[in-house]
Amino acid sequence: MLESLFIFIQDYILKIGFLILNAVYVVFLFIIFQQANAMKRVVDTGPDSNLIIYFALANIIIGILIFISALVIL
Amino acid sequence: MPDIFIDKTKEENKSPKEPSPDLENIADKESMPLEKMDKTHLLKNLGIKAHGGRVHAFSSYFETPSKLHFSNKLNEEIMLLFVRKHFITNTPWILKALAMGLVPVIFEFLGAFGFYSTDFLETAGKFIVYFFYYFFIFSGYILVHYMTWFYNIGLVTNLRVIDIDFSDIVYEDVAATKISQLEDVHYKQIGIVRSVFDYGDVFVQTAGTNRNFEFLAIPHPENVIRIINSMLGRKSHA
Repeated sequence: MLESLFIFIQDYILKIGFLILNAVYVVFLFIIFQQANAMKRVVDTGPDSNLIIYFALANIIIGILIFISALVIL
Repeated sequence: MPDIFIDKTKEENKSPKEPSPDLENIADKESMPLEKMDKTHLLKNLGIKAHGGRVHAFSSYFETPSKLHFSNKLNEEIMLLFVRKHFITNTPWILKALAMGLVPVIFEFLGAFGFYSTDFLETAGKFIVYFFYYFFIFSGYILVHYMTWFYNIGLVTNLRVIDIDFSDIVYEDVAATKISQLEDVHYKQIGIVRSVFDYGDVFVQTAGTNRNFEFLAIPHPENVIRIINSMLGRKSHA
């Protein structure tokens, strides 16, 4: 009984928990992207400000890809 | 009683001493309002070399940056100084990021020696979890700390002192004050590390109840003080 409960937790709750964590993290990355844009409007140091924005955008894309991979693999 | 009188006509006829052209020139320049000076003249007066270059990704002190724009910049405004915290102040979080990067390696190492079991995840699942972890370090921890350092900026122009604070992603604070409202400026450089890397805290005091400015851990604080001080005594119509 206890063993089956442990397997259930292991199989579902941990995986669903990881997916939720991943999704929340993608939202957080989106906030970082928005703030990078907002700060660029306040002070623009040239290509470096753009680099941060592109990096933040790339992170969102990678985050979504990780979420999809986790959904498929786990 | 003899009349004592002074021959006024002689006194009036005396032409007042005319100052030499050089002295007059210097006096005019020193009393000239900052916003009316042209850039070359202003920089020469303040003892700043016109680099005119671009602030790069790791710059923490730059004189006369040319390709820098900020909101509400006035047309006649000339950028004099750009300061951030010294890059050495980023060392703690860089070391923490490196330590965080070693955690999965340590776990794997302990697992290999049988201290605990890592069988609850398949290899592909483990890869995803570790990949996410390293992704979190780069995109969350490092990027957020770098952005916090990158956008904590102090600017000194011929008209204003501007302090841009940014922290924890959601906190933004932009404050500016006119040069004419500055009252006092001083700095503190305490400690061996600060002396070795030449950075310190600059405090700018404004008149009345206006907000004071703090530029913390900025490189070459004595230069910043010198530049701001040399503008303090001048007239400004800003």
